[in-house]
Amino acid sequence: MDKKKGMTRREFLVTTGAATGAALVTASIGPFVHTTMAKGKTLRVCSYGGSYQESQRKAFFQPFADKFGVKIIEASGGDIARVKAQVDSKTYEWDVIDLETRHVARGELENLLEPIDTSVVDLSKIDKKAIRKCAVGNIFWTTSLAYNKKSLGGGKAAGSWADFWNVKKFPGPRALQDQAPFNLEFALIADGVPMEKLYPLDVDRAFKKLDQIKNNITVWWKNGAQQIQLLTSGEAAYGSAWNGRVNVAQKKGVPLKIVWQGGCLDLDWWCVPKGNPNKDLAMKFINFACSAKRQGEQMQKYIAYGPTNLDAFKYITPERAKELPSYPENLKKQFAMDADYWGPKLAPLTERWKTWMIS
Amino acid sequence: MKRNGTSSTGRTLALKPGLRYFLLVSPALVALLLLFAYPISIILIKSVFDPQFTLKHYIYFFTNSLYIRVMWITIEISVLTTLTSLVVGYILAYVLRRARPGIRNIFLMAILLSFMISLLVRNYSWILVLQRNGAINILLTYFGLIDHPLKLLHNKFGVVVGMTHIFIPYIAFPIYSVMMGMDLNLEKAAQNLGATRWQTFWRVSFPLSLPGIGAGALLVFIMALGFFITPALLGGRKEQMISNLIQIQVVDLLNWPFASAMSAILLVVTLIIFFIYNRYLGAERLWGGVKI
Repeated sequence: MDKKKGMTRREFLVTTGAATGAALVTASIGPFVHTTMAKGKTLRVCSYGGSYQESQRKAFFQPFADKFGVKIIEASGGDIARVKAQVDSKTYEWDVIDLETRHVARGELENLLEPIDTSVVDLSKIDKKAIRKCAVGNIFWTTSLAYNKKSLGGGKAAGSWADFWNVKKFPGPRALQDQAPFNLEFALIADGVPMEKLYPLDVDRAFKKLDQIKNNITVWWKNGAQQIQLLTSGEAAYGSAWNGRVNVAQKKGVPLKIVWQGGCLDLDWWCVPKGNPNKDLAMKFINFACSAKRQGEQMQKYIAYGPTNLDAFKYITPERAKELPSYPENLKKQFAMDADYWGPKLAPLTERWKTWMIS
Repeated sequence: MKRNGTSSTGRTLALKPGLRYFLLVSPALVALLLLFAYPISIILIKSVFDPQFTLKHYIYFFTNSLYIRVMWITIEISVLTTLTSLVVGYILAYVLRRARPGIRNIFLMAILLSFMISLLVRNYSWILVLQRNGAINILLTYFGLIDHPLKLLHNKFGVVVGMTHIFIPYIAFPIYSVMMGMDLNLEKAAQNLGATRWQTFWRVSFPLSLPGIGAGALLVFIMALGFFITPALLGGRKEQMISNLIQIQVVDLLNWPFASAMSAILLVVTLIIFFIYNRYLGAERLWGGVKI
């Protein structure tokens, strides 16, 4: 799910592009392409578009292009299915790609990504949670409980997942995302499981807890635009939401509030498709984009996500830092999503989730 | 065609009408083969090789209750929206047929215009109209007709409204084109012979418009089977469509063989319905009757 983009959704792009030949679709329709500088070598980067990619353009793409005389060609809306299409056919459209955790985990399982070249990418200052064999974390982002102060009518606001489940004490329509990941964790936290003992998930217990609230969830949201629209319009008083989106809405004056307690900390990752001939330049870019200064500039000025380089906070003011998911005070209230648990479990648990949804 | 010796060429063409027609349709044929036959055969092949020949994906589909049930939900929603689109589309076509040309053109333009608006925008517009604090609920509360907001969204009702809105042109245009070929004097003749308005409609106008209904309903039903954006945005917990599950298999789970098997099953279901339809309602004969 792209938590940063505006109205156009990559899931819908993929969907309307239909099941077959995702790569073909990209080639024929032509993705959104933005060129920064034209000189010497070329690097093709795919990210998630919108204000998120704009922040990357200002903090990474343009400075990298200027410094190394590289032409950067941008695309948006990547997923692991398209990476597979490129790796299988050995025709690479992207050299560096920004991917969500579930896509990275799947890509590693299916051997679709290049291992990170540690002789080029300096990992010494990178948060351990943001280091994988074939990927380096690029941002921290949070999915957590959010609400619209206006919808509560002056009542006390829910402050935890246990409160979210308590529909008598904290009334109001509720929204959750239509997917198993995050929701099973939230249910277990509401049921009293300590955050550090979530994984491996007690799936039966989670579904039993979800049964309690099933009919109180008015909306099961599908995409990033929807979650904020629901909270803004009052269709839902409480809902799970992505911190970056909530931050953008707050800046526009919508009285939304995010509850860090019980939030799920997740990452976006830089990856390189397996066998890509432009791998060396790609690794060089990843190293550049993960530097403290670059990330510091991105989070301070352009977007409210958490830097993965621990030194990046040196470049971020204390007031701004408090809004970010990896700010120490916020961090300790959250749990980290376990991608390796979900990698092999996503298929069976998605089936169980959908079966639970329709029954 | 080469034009060396007009008379002989003319004779050759006259002698071999089969070849001539074949050449005429060949561009369309090539396009069909490249754009439909080829990808569909790839999907069929993918669904039974993983990497050796296997039917396990088909067996899995039919032994897991989730997929059968979602397929059933898909068919149910498709039937429902086809019926609602038919009623609204028919009334629209009926009125347009009898409207003054100026008014008719304005309405036709409006319907055509709706094609140009993105599906997402149309879905979000319905959200604004139907939601708890949406236009309908605000109006009804204002006039004191309701105390609590009606639940119009995130349920089957919302899905049917949204899909019907999208499908109306697809069903109204075929019916309209058939009606345009209909002689309105027939209605006058029927009434002249003593038929009531109701009798005139059911025994003259309606039977004559059947070809349009047949073509439009089939088109809309088949489109509905593959739909999922509208059910995803306007539907609730239970409005899950089979194409949504296919997409998850393609994008998130990378299980392309199973996704291919699911697509093949959806295709077969569509074909079965088409053949039943053809057998009992004679789709071909109906299309033969379309006049523009």
